[in-house]
Amino acid sequence: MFSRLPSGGLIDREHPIEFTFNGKKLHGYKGDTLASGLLANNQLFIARSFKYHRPRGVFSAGSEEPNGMVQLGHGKFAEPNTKATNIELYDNLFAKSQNYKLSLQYDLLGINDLLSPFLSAGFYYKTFMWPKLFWEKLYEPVIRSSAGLGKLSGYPDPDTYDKGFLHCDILVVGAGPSGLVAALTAGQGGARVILADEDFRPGGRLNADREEINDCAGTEWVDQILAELETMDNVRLMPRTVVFGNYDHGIFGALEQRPEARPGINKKPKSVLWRIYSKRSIICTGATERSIGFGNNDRPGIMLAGAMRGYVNRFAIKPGENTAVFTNNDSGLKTANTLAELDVAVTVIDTREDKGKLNTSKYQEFITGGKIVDVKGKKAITSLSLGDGRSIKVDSLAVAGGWNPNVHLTCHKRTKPVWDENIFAFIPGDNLTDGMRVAGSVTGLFDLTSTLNDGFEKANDTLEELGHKPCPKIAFKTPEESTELTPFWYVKEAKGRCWIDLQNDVTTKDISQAYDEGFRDVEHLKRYTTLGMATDQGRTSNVTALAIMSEYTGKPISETGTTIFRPPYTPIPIGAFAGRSRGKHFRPTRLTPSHHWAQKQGAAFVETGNWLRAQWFPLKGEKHWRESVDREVLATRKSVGVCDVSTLGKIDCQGKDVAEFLNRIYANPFLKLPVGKVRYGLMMREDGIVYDDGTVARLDETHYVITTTTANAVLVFRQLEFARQCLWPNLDVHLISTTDGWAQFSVAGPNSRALLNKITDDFDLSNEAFPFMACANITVCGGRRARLFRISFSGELAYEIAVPSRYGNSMMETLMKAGEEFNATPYGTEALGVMRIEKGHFAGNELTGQTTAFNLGLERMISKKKDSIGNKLSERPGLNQSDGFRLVGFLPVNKEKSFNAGSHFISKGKDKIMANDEGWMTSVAYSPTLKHTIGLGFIKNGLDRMGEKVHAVDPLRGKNTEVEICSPHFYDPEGSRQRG
Amino acid sequence: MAEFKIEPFPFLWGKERYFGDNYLEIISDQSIVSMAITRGDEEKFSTQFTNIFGNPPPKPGKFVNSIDNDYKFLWMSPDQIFALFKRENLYPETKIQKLMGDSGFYTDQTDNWCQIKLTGPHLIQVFERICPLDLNRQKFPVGNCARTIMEHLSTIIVHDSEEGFLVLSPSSSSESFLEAIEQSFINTGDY
Repeated sequence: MFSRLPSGGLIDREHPIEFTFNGKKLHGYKGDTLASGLLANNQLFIARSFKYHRPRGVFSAGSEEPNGMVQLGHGKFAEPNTKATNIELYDNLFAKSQNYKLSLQYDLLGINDLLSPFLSAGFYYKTFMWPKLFWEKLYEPVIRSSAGLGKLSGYPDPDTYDKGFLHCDILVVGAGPSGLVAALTAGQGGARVILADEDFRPGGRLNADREEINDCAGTEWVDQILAELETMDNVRLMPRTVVFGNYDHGIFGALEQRPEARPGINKKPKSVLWRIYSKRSIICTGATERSIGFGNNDRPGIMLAGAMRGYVNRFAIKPGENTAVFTNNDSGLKTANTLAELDVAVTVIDTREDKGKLNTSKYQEFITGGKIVDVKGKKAITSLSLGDGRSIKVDSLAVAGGWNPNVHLTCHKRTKPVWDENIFAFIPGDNLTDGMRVAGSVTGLFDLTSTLNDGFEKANDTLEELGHKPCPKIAFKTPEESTELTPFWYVKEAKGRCWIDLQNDVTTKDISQAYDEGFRDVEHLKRYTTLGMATDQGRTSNVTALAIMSEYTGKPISETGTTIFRPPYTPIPIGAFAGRSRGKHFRPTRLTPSHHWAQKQGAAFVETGNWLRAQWFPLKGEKHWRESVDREVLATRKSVGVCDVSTLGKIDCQGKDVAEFLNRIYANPFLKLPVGKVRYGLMMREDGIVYDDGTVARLDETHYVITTTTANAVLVFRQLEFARQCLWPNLDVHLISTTDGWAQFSVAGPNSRALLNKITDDFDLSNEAFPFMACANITVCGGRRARLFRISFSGELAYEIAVPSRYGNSMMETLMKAGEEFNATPYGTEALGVMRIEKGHFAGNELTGQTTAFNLGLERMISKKKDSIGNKLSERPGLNQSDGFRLVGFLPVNKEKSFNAGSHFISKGKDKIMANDEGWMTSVAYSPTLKHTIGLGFIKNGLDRMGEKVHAVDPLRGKNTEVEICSPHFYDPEGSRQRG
Repeated sequence: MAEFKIEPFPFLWGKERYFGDNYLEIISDQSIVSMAITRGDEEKFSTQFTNIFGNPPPKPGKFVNSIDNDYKFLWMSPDQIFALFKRENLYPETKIQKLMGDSGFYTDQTDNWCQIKLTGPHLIQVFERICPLDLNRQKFPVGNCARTIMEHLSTIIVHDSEEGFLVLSPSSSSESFLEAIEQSFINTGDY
C-alpha cells in the first residue's frame, strides 16, 4: 500500500489541499502533482490503456508519462488527456479517469484485452473487409465510438490564452543542475538570460535525488542558486514553461502555464505561448529513463526507478512495505538505496551477473543475472515471478533500463542524433545550428560532477562567443557516482505480453510481427505498430523498440536510426496556438469613416477583407435585402445616392519623375496627363495578366493620387514599391499610403451636382468648368479641406469627394442633410455592385489572376508606343487568340428567369458536359432598372456572338437558363449620363 | 461659402483610461507629416533640416526633436521621415514645405494614424504580449523608434520618454488596436 511518509519531501505540509478524483475527495499538499497526490492516497489504478483497456497506473514523474492521463476539470472546463504527472495540485482540483465504458473499475471495453490475439499491430489493415455492407453500418460506428483518447467537453473553450514575444542573449532550457549552473554563469557574465523549465519547481534530478553539492543538500543548493538568479535583473526565471520547439534563427516556442488561472476562478489567460528570440541557446533538457520489457510489465504499481525515487524524495511517498527494483544499471541501485533507507523490504533484481564490491546487506535480497518473467495483480501489482521460478510478493516495482538523453530540441531542425555506445542511447549530433550548445545529461553525462561542470563550461564558451568576459571557474564538491550500465532490453523468456509502448499498447510481439511482415525501417515500424505516437511520443519506449528491431534485423542500433523528432516536444493545446485570436480578437477590423453613422441607420454590414462595409440600408417595412438594394439603385439613378468608398486604396505619389514612373507601371500612357485630370489606368503583371485597375489623379505638377481596388490596395502598393526601389531606383518617386487618411464618398445620380453645390465653397461644378474625369483640391463646408474627383462607377453623373478621415462621419451626415431636398439615398456595396454590372465595369470577380486585357476587351489600351510592365508578354499569341474568352453581357431569354454567377456556357444542342464548356458567368445581379437579371461573363469569341443564345448551366444548383449574349454595357452604353 | 458644417470626430475619442499606475492617452492634437527626400538632394535636405530645426535628421531607428522641442522627427526609411508637431490647421504639410523648401515632398499623414501615448511602470510586460520587438531599455532606449506589427496591425512605436511610449497605428483599425493594448493590460495585471 502506498502512503505518505510522516516527514520529508519538498511538499508544503502547512498548506493541505483537497481535490477530487473519480468523485472521491482526497487530500494532498501544496507542492504535489496530481500523480503524487493520487499515489499518496494509494490510488494506483487510475487509467485504462488505449487499445486493450488494461488497468494502468502512474509510470513516471514527468511529461514522458504514457499512462496517467486524466480528464481535468468538468463541464465546459473539461480538458482531456492531461498528464497527472504534470498537473500541479491546487485546491478543489477535479479530475477523473478516461477511456472506459461504464466505469474505471468495470470497463466494458476491457473485453479488448481478451480479444488481443485478433487485435495485434496493423489488424485494421487486414480486417473489416467483409461483408462490404457492414463497414458503414457496423464497423465504422463501433470503431468510432470506442476510439480516441478522452473526450472533449463539447462546449467552446471557456479558458483564455495569450501569446507573447521574449528576447534574450542566452536561452537555457532546463533548470536541472547543468541548466542552473549555466544560467548562473551566463547571468553573472552579464548576458541577458532566460531559464525555462517545464516543472513548477526548478531543480530537475536534484529534486528527486539526495546528492549533496558543496556540503549541502542538493535541494538547498537549488534554492541558493534560484535566490541568486532572482536578484539578477538580466535573468528571467520561467518555471512551468515547456520549450516545445526549436525553429529557425534561434527562435524557440515555449508554453508557460499560469498558476493564477484556474478553471472558473478568473479570466486571466491559462497559458502564454511565447516566441523566444535567442542569440544563443544552451539545451540542458536532461534525460528520460527507459523501461525493460517483461511479462505484464504494465501493471499499476510498476514505475520507472527514477520516478519512484522522486516520489519518495520529493513527494514523501512510501511505495508499500515490500518493493523490488529491476535494473540493468547503477541508477536503479540508487533507487534501491533510497527505498532501503525507508522501512521497506527491497529486493533487487539486477540483470548484470557481477555485483562487484557492492554492499548488498541493506536489501532483503540481491539477485544477480535475474530476470522477471511475469507480474501478477490485475489492478495493482501483488507479486512478480522470476526466471528461476520463484515468486516474490511486492507492493511496487521500480524498473531501470537506462537513460535516454532528451535530444528532441536539438533535432527539430533535422540535426540527426548519434548513437553512443558508452551509454547505449542517442546523444545530440555535433552539427548543431544557430549557436546552440548542449550541456549536462542530454549529452550523455550522467554523473552530477560532470553535469555541473559541463553547464559551467558551456555557459562560459557562450559568453565568450557573445563578447562577454568569461566567469572564473567554480568548483563543485559532489559525491562520487557510478553510472555503469549493461544493456538489457527485454526478457525473452517472459510469460505474457511484454509491453514496450504503454501508451499505444505496443508489445514485443507487435515489433516481431512488424519485422516478419517487412516493416523494418523505423518509420515503417512506427506507422505499422503506432509505436512512439500520441501524447508521449514514445519517450520511454522508442529506444527499447529500436534495440529490439535491431536485434531482429542484425543491424546495429546506430544504423537502425530513429524516427524524426518534430515540434512540439509535449502536447500543446490548440487554444494556446490560437492565443487571443478568437471572437472580436480573431482578426482586426477596419471601419469606414462613416461607420458610426451607418450603424445608427441600421445598415447591414459585410466583411470585405478586414473592412466592415455597409451592404445596404434597410428602411422600415422592407423585409428582404433585395427591396433595399433595388430601392437604393433606383433612387440613385433617379436623383442622387451617396456611398462611402473610402476603402478603395489611395496612394500618394510625389516626385519629379512620377509621370515617367506611372507610364512604366500602367499599360496605357501617362506622360501627358494634365494637372487637374483623372485617367483610368490598367496595371499588368510582368506576365501580361491584368493585376489591377484604378484611377490616377494629377493634383499638381509633381503630385498624383492613385486609387486601387479595395482588395488589391496592399498588393498594388507593394508592387509600386518594388518597382520604385528595385526596377527603377534612379527615378525620383515617393509613395505613401493615404487610404486611411481620407474619407471618400461617391455622390452619384442626376442631382449629384446640385447636392455638391450646397456643400462646396464657391467651386464651379459645371460641366464646362469641371468636366468628366476632372479633379481638384477644394474646400467644403466653410473652409474644410477636400478633394473632388469627377469619376463614375455607377454610370451616372457622379463625383467622389474626399475629406480628412476624422471628418468622414460628419461629412456623411452633412451630405444626407444637404441632400434631403433631392431625397438623397445612402447606398451600400450591393447597390454599388448592381450599378457597376449594369454599367458593365469589371471588378474582382472578373480578375481571376488569369484575365488578360484581351479578355476584358481592353487590348487597345496597351500602348505600343512605350514599354510598361507586362507589355511584351501580353503579346503572347496564346493570350490573344481570336476565339479566346471575351467579357460580354448576358440576359435571360425569358425575362422572368434568373441565373447564377458560376454558371457555365454550353452552346444550344450540345451535351452539358465539361468538354463543351465555352466559358463562365462571373457577375450576376437583378437589375431594378431593367427589371430582369443581368450578368457578365467570359465566353469564347464572345464579341462575335452578339445575339446568340446559349445555355447558362449551373450543375451545383441544378439550374439551366437560356441566355442571350449581349453587350456588357446594359445601361447608358453611350456614357451620356456620366458626362452630363 | 457653403451653409453646412462638418465637425471632426477624432479617432478613439474619449477612450483614455488608467490601468493601475499606467495611463493610456489618446493623442488627437498632433499632426503627422511625411517628409520624402528628393533623390539627389539628400545633402541639401540635411543641411536645410539642420538649419531649420537645430538638429540633423534622425538616423535609422531613431527620432530627434527640434531644438525648441516643437517637432519630433521619426526615421521611417532611407528617404522618409515623419514629422510630428502640434496641430494647427488642416494643411500641416504646407507648414513643413514652407520651412523646408523644394528639397522634399510632403504628405499629410495625420488622419492615417491613431496616436496613443502609454506611460507607466508596467508597459514592457504589456508590450511583450503584442510587440515582437525587443523593448529592453538597453536595446530600445529613449530616442528609438521602429515600425513593426502588433496583432496583425502596422505599428510605429516611439520610445519618446523614460515614462513611456508613443504608438501609432492605422486609423481605420484603431479600435482593434486599442482593444489589443487594453487586452494586454488586462492579461498582465489586475485591472
